[in-house]
Amino acid sequence: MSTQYEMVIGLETHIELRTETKAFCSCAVTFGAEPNTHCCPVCTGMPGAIPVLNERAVEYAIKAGLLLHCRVSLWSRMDRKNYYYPDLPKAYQISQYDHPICTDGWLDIPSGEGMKRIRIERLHLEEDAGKLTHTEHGTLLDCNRCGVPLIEIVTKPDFRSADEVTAYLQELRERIRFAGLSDCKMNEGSLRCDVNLSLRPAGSDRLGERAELKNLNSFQFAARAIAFEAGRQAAVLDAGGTLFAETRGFDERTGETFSMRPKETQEDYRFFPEPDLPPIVLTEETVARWESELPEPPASRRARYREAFGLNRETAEALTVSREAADAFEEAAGLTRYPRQLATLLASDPARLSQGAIPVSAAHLAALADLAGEKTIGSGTARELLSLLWREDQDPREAVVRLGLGKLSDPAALRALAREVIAGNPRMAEEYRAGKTAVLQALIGQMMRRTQGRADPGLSREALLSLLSI
Amino acid sequence: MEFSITEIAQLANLRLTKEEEAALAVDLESFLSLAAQMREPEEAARRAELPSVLRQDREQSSLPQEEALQNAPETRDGCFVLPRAIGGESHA
Amino acid sequence: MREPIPDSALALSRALSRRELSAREAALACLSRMEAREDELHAFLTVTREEALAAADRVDSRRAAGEELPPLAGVPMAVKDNLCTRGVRTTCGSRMLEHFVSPYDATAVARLREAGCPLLGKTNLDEFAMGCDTGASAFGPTANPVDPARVPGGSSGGSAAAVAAREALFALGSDTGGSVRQPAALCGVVGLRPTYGRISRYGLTGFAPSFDQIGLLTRTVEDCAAVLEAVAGFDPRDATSARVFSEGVLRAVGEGVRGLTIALVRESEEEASPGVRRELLRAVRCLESRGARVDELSLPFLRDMLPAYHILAAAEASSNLARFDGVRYGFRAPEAVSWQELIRESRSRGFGPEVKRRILLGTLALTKERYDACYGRASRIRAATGAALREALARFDLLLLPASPETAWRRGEKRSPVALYRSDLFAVPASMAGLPAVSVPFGAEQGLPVGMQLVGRAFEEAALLRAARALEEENA
Repeated sequence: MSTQYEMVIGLETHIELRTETKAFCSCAVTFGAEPNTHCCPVCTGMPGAIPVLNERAVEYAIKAGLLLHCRVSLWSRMDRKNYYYPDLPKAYQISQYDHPICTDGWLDIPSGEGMKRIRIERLHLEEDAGKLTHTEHGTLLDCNRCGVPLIEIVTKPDFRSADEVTAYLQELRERIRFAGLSDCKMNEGSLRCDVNLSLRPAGSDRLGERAELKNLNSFQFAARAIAFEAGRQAAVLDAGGTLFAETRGFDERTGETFSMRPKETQEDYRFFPEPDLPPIVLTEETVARWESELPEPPASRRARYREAFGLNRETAEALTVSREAADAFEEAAGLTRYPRQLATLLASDPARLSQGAIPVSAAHLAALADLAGEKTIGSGTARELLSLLWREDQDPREAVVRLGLGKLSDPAALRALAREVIAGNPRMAEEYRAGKTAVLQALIGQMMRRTQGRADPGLSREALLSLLSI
Repeated sequence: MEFSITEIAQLANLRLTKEEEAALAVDLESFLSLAAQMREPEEAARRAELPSVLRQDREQSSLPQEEALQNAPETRDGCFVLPRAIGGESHA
Repeated sequence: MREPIPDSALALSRALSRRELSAREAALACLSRMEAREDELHAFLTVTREEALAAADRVDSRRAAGEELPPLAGVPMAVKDNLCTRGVRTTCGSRMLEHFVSPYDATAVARLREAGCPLLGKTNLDEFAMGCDTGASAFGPTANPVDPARVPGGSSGGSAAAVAAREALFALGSDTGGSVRQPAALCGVVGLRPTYGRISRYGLTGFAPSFDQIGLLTRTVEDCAAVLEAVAGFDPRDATSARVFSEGVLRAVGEGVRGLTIALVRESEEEASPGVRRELLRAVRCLESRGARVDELSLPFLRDMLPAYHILAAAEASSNLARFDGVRYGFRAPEAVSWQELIRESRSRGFGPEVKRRILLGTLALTKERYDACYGRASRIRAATGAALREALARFDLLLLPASPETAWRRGEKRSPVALYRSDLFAVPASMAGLPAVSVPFGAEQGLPVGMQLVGRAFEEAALLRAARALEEENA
């Protein structure tokens, strides 16, 4: 890209809310179900069927707005956006036009050395469309996704690079996901973003003609599409050409953007207030209650954990992969004398932490950390026990006794074991006695193996040494 | 009171014959002139509306697939079927 | 010939509970009445004979088993064909939905089925309830039972005619801008448009949701109260449904009008035909003689409400009827090669001219360039006139005006669209403000029934029906 231009980018992000049911009917929100099995008269737009707004969708939209420091509208309403497309059964999308539920927010993102504030213009509630599959037998319509609640978050044109866009999307996704408002899975379409990009000569404050890049399905694709599009626009300008406002798609195989349609043929959506839905009226108290339910954002928790428990970055990140994990960690950390061991133990399997509710009680997690911290059990045993507790929550102290997992520290037993190990490895014993003391580690390893790691390493060493020096 | 009946019909997704266009243009014009005669109220008022009834986020049974599709003109693999698009599959 | 059955729903209900006849006999009497009259009237688009008899039999066997039954159990009903009925086709009077069979019941229909009312069939209407004489039905017009050469009014003309001809004991209709009250007036039956939010709209294929309200067509005012109690009440499937109780209306109907203050709307006197005006003034004397206080009131904005109503209703309709695209149900143009063509052709051939006209008007009113001058201004008028009406109703208990400026006109009489819209003039105020209104037969002009309309405060249907009952007694 030519250096004389500056990119000006604004984002529109659509996020599917993780409610149990759709925005306007009681059909379950699902992904990958048999087609048209989570449908009803309302979401398939049958005659006479009318919408009733899901209160949790309102709650989640507002919580998302609060996470983005938005102003919440105590009075807002739904509007109809009218256009024909076969994936839109009613031929209008219930959305919000001039009274969005949240406005005027911001989000700070890392940029270069410091932080940068991205302003958020609005956040509104709307419904998703169905899924079309184009086959040789025609186009197939599945309405399972029709009516799934979405929020659309529109930023000001504050981004100046693809990195900033990625940083914003990461921060946004983490906050929304952490608060349990959405899965934010780009590959399943629960987070989608459109990029509005234009170029201007560096130093100018005029906005150029913008291209809207649609349906970018991953952070990487968004970054690649931005890079390609900026280069394309620069080339047109450098060649003395003119740009015009248009909607462009992104071809994931070629990495190129392509024109879909010019903006001036943009339809007149004929927005008007949704007559089936009276205004959404909220009280300050309700909004305050929702605000109080929001979790502390993951970034500030990570900072706190690292400070308080001396954790490294990876461990802190693993613990904040979900709100459930972070909450479980914090509660258990308050009950154990070994919070750091607890952290390492939990973080040893990050994938497990991201799967929703933590199935082990805080008391049991704390007890497990105590057992490890007191060296009653080794770290391998501790991890095994954690897996056991994950499958079936129980008191780890009882499990240690029942399964005989405690450390072997009986000198007589260890001495007997050491004798067996030496007898079974005469060559190693020879080598040791010949002065190659490094093999001692291997012999200790043998003892550990034979006891599934339960042999106390110090006492094992002593037992071996006393026998080898004979 | 200029408007294009063709454009309006396009937006409404209706095909009109020349005769329909002519007759409807006259009707629409007479409505617009009626509308123009409406006297704007001096004081703004807000319509008396009860706040919206909201719904609890609790699943209730959906229609069985065969009922969801029972009125469909054409189906295949549990889906509604329609002919393919002209001019690509660009989304509105 | 079968024994005639009692004339009103409540009288039939009493006869049924005294076991003077069975529900099956009542349903059969209605069905044979239909056989005798339908060729001439065409009030019904679909007759559900087997279903009616099966429902009647269930009531009879429950009664035989000694079960305590709801008051309307065994009273046969007719339902306007824009209310969804599970397993029975719901055409909305349109080619578009000629073969549409709903997989669900409208809440009002479900409640009446639950109450044991056998469904006799689905009644004719102007296509998608857009019209005022039932002549805009895709399946042919309905005749007025009082004089079959005349229109029954509309759009609930089939329901009004069915009740007037005693084919059904009562019927459900829908009233957007007068579609229950005007045909009730023209056919000489009672027509109630309850307060917006009183009866769930779930399952009503409305055309303008902020106006649509399910209405009742009955032979007596008391029947009206009884049916209202059976269908009204909060429904979680309708976001505009009100959480108010609907009991006690029937008990209040006979309380008389003493102490009520009623406003005669002056402009309605000026706009009504001579015969209608005469009956209006007679109604004033009747109410006064029974102890009500009647004063004149001017509603100068009445005429502004009509264009505002039509713009707003058409705007909502243009969006509400967009779902009829031939994709998931309904008429599909068979030879379309792309989905774009399929949608356009299905709509162009599935809808009749009046529906297209209103869709286009509404589309125009919502375009960016026109929005403020049309939709915006009409909304502001709606808000302001609604406030003025509520203010008037703070001073008066009820407003009195005719339900229709004129009596039933001859079928086939050529009328301009604007003239047809004008027939909603007296009906539109209640629709615009969401207020309850009733039309009750009162007198006649040249042998044709006149309907007197009362408009009341929100959720005060009882006061409305008390006054209607007084007029009904005088009319008897």
